[in-house]
Order: sequence, then structure tokens, then C-alpha cells
Amino acid sequence: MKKILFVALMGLTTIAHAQDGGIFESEFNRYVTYSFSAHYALSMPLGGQRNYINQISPANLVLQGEAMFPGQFSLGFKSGYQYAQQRVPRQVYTVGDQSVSAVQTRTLSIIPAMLTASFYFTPNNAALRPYVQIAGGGAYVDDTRYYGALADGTNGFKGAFAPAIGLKYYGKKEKGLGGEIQAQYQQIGLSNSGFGNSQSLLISAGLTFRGF
Amino acid sequence: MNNVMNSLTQTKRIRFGNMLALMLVAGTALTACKDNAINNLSPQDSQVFITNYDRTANFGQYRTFSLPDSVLVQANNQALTSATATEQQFLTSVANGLIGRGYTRVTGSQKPDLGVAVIRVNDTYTGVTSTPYSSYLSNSWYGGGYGYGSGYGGYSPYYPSYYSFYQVSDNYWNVQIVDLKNKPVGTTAAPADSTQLNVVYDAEIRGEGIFDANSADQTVNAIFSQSPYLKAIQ
Repeated sequence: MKKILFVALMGLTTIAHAQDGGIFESEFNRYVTYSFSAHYALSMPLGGQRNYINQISPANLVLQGEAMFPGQFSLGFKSGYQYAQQRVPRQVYTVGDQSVSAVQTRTLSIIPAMLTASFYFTPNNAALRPYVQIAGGGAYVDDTRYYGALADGTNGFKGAFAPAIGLKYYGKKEKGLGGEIQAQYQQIGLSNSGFGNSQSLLISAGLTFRGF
Repeated sequence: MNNVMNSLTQTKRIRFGNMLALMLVAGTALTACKDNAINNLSPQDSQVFITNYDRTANFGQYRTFSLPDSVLVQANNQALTSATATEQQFLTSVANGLIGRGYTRVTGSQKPDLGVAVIRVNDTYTGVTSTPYSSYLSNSWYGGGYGYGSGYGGYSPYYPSYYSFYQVSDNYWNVQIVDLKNKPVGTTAAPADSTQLNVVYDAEIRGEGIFDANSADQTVNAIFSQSPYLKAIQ
């Protein structure tokens, strides 16, 4: 009788352990792991920024690093480089007391530096990982306006936030290298820009890597 | 098993290394964008016309102006006069522009209301920049044994810095108009000749191709067309 009880207890314990993963659980789901991503992005100006540069910018890079906690959350850092440019036909601008007639080349360079928090809808070792993300922090902004070849402008570190949704696809479970797509709304506080805050939508695609 | 794990880890490191290299290359390429922003400007699009004027001046009160037959060439702190064919063409364009606004050209002895100076600015600035060795690189070079605190009494080796020179040229036309009609009355303490005249109008023409003779009319017209207040009859 004692033998039967012991075998039954062992059986129940094994089944329970197997159901929560136990010793067979993926290391991605047992430890804090890391993920890095690099994306090429298209940037679409929104809001007041369209009055300054209204063209889609093809020169953007998104870089992300995340600490993936067991479960479905991650904390990380996001940076990259965004560049937009537009040439405006000759017109007369008022700069201080002066009237300046020039072909203006407007440039906007942004280097974000934001902390991220993400929620993934599937476990860390899954092949397909849709997620939502919120990022907040700042961005170094360089707003240079060339009048002909004469440069004028401002630069500085401004507050920024950027909610995003995305999808990581690794081909199969446990695999390290995969692809990623992301859509990110970004707003940067620019009080003296003349066009209000910088608002843009970044659609990006690139590579992602997860590991220990 | 351990070999397989090591091999997998190595593969992951290589992949991550490749990604890092790719990111650095992409980042470097993108940050070069701003440097190239105005590389494809045509000479005409590079031209900039800057005008300013005295808001208290009533340009309708003036009827005549005088304009020398030569331009003033200003090179840093030196100034001399010059009258090449191109410069004379520029002077003619300025004179025609003012005549077109209703002013009459007179000689300096006929007590003009306005004095016009055409200045060709040829300033050149030379600077020096240096890129010293970093102490980190210096220590690495000699295995870190000859730097600070190495038993040589804090001896730090001297490495010559790399110096490079750069030169910036600033060449442009400057047109200034001074008020001679209301010039300050001289006193014994401050004779009229030593008193500064009031500049009522100032224009700069910058960019490529501005010193070509055939561009004189176009560039001078540009500064007058953005100065509608500059006319004898208001």
C-alpha cells in the first residue's frame, strides 16, 4: 500500500513539474536574457513637423537593447539616428531685422536616448513575439537650416517619448537570430523650433538577436 | 556536449559581432547625411541676399546719390580701391538699380543726399586644430608600464600632437548706403569729418558665381527687389 502511494505521489509530482516546465523549461523562460535589435526605418513627419519637413525620410536607424525577464516583460534602452532633410525653393525670410533671400535646406538630426518597457504576448522562447512598448527619455536634436551655404540653427537635448508596437519572428522556438518589424510614434518637445513639437511615425524593419 | 555548446555560443557571438559591425557601418553612413546636405546646390541656388535698413529712415526724403567709380576691396584689416571690368559692371548695376528707384546720380561735390559704397570683402581666416594622442592609447602602446605610477616618479612620456591647419575664406559683396543729407554737424571738439555717418541701408551678396561679370545685374536686382522701401518717391 505504501509502495502504491509513493508511486502515485511521484507520478503526480512529475506531471505537475512537467506542466510548469520544470527542468525542461527553456532557459529563455528561466533566466534574465538579452535581446538586441537594429532596424532600418522610414520616418513620416506628423503634426506641426509637416510644416517644416513634409517628406518621408529614408535615412533612419533604430537600435534597441533589452533585458528580457522570465515571463513576458522587458526593460531596455533605445537609441539610433534619424535624419530628415528638405530643400525649399528660394524665398525671402526674416531673420532678426534682416531680410534673407535664399534657397533653404532644412535638416533635422535626432539621436534618441530612451528607456523602454515592453510587454510581449508570447513567452521569451517563442518563435513569434508580438509586443507593445513604451519608451521615454530624451533626444539630442540638431535643427540646422542652411540659407544657401550659410548655416543657422539650434541644437540640444529635449524630452521625448515613443510608444510602439512590433513583432519579432525567429523562425522557430529557442532560435537566437530573427527579424523584427516595428511601428513607433515619436514626440520630442521642441518649444523654439517654429513648428512646435517634433512628431513622427517610424516604420522600421531589421534584425533582432536574443541570447544569454 | 560541451563542444556543441561552445560552438553554438561562438556562432552566436559571431552573429552578434556581425550585427554590431553592420550597425556601426549604417550609423556612420547615416551621420554623414547632414555633412552632405548642401553638396548638390547649384551656384545660383547657393547665392544668398541679405538686406537690412534703418527703420527710422524715410527714403522718400532723398533725391540724389553719389557712387565712386571704383569698389573698395577689404581684405581682413586692409582696404584698397579697385576697378576691374567685373567690378565696374557691378558698380553700373548698382547705379542703374538706384536710378530705377527714382534717385539721381551726382558727383561727390554736388552735395548728394546719399553716399553709396560698394565693398568687395575678401577675408581669410586661418586656424589650427590638434588631435593629441589619448593617454589610453599611449599606455597601451607601451604595455601600460611607462605611464603614471609605474615607478618612474610619475613620469609620463611626451607624444607630439598632430596639428592641422585650416583656412576659411569669406568673400562677398557688401553695398552700404549712408545718409549724407542729415550728417552730423561738426563741432570744435568733434569735427564733422571724424563723426560716423549713419548707414541707412546695407546689403550682402554671398555664394558662388557672384564675382562673374554676367551675374552683376541678376544679383543686384535681387537685393533691390527685396528692398521695396528703397525709393525716392514713396
